Amino acid sequence: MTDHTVVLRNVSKIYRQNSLAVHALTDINLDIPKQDFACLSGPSGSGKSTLLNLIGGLDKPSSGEISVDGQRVDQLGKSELAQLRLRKIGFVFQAYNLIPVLNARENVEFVMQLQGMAADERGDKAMQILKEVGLEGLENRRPGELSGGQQQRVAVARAIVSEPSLVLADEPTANLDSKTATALMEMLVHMNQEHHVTFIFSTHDKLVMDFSRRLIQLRDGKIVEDLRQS
Amino acid sequence: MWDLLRVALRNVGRNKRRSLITAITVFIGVLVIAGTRGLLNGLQGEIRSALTQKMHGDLQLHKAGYQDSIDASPYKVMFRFDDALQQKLRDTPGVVAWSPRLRVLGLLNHQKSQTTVPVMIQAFDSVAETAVCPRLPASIVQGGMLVSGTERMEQVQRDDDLAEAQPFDPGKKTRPKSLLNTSGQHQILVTPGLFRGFEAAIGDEVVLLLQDKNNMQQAVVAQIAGVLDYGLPNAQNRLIWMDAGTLARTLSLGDEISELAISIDKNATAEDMKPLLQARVGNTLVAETYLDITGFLRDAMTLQNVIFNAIVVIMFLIVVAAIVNTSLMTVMERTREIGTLMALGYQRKHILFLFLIESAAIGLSGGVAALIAVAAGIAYLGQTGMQFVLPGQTDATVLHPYVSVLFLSMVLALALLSAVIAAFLPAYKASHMRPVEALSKS
Repeated sequence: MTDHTVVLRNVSKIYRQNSLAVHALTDINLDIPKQDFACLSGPSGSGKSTLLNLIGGLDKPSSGEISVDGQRVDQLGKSELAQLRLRKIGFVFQAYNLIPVLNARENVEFVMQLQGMAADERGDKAMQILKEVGLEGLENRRPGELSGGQQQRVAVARAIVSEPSLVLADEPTANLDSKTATALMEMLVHMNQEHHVTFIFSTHDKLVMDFSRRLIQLRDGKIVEDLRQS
Repeated sequence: MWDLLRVALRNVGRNKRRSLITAITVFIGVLVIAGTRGLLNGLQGEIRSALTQKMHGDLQLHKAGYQDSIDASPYKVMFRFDDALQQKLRDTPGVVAWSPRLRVLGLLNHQKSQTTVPVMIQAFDSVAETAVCPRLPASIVQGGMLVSGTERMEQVQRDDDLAEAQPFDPGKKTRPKSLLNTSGQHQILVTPGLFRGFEAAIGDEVVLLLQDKNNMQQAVVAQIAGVLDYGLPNAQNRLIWMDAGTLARTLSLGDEISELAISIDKNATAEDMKPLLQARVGNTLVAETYLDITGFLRDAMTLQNVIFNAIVVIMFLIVVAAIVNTSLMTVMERTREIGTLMALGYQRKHILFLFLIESAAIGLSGGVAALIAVAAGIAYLGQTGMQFVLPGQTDATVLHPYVSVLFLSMVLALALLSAVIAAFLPAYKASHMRPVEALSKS
């Protein structure tokens, strides 16, 4: 169990719409080992984003157990979930979701600041990671002054700078052209290898699937295929 | 906390137009509240000043039942103004000056128009009265102030000395003043109403018919020295003023007086001094403030304050409504951002504080700007004064608006409080969103 960053046992998620029960996920069992680079794929409505949200503690399962880094996510209160997200999980969103009033460096520093890291230390770490994602010299630009690819790089830097156990990336390449998307994925592979961070993606993008070492196919809320790729 | 503050303050500048409109609403609210209070303070200050410095003094000592009996039985409520009472006044800290007054009823006959009217006669020594009511001489709109009994004695002495030094020359047309004074040429002041009614002129001769304590008729021949206009609403029309010494001698009153007007130290208040004075003089006399004496003005000022408080409440509600609207729109627009912040580790309290700080910053900026404007405007108007016609008056009065630093601080605190209260519900709503739902909003 401790060799796995994420463990899901019999996880189901049912949404209620008026009197209708919509089964978004049904009886999911999944183990994601440390430093895995896994991809959740499947058509729209297959449940990949729901699964990502449950792993990230953004939503609660209707039943089943979810553990992240040995901690039972499904049993945590709101405040403890916030702490889990702060300390152990990084998020990369399709629309980047940077804080528009903060510049690139401040966005990257944001999580470390919340963690209570000293200003000098977080400043150094932020500059180092921005250099690593190729944004040296752009650290004082606000999101509105950066391209989509650059914004997503800032988002990746923000997600991994505090060295979380797990990074969850929801359609990270959806708004990027293929060249920028390839560069981003190469960077994520590098981060996975250099920083030993576990990555889980949800995507429709063939490119992301090609980069992933593990491909988990979902359909109608169930895992239909779980492949290891070389 | 600093990161929260930084993000909040930058967010204020994100939608500049909306923040500006909200800040302007706060600005107007604070401006109206503080400005109105300043003007009201000026108005009430002028009324207070007029009452205390022209008419009543800060405090008065009366015999019990004075207000009920003075018009009908003025002799019944007289008391002795002896050395013991004066010593008590001297021993009371904060008492600066006092003026003994007489008030009796009489008939006033204007010789030229052959008109006789009943009048209330108020008598004082003009030197003592001016010490208590320093604005009284400025209220004389025609003619001049009464010559004080004390001054007159000195003048008579001077004139007599002069007459002795320069033997009377029947060839000269002018006579020594002492002869004028001793030949019954006493002085009175009349109200504008009487003056107009008589179609009188300064210097006209009048006869005052009085009834002394023993029901004996007395008469005083006098001349109209001036017209006194307090310039206050509800002022009596049939009122005349004369020298207290003259009246006391005419009515054989000795050291008896009707009322004692008292002025107090600038730093003291009449309400605070009242119990002190009462304790000094004992139970035989009643200490009353100028507001006790003029109940209608106390009511009017209370009404003004009630109206002012209503304005404060209305402005408060307008400001709250504006901020609620802004905050709700902001929360709606930034739902996904709230979700992101939650995903990054923000707790509910962080989200709550974020929106409260943003709202407080808008409230504070509008409030501070308004206070600067009000403080500058009121400081200017306080210096130059404002021409203002008081209710019941025809002549303009100069008002000097003012507001205390404490009041301005309270208004600023109110602006801040209203901003925080108004933003609380939207902020609470934002802080209680589910992260997954917030993130799914476009």
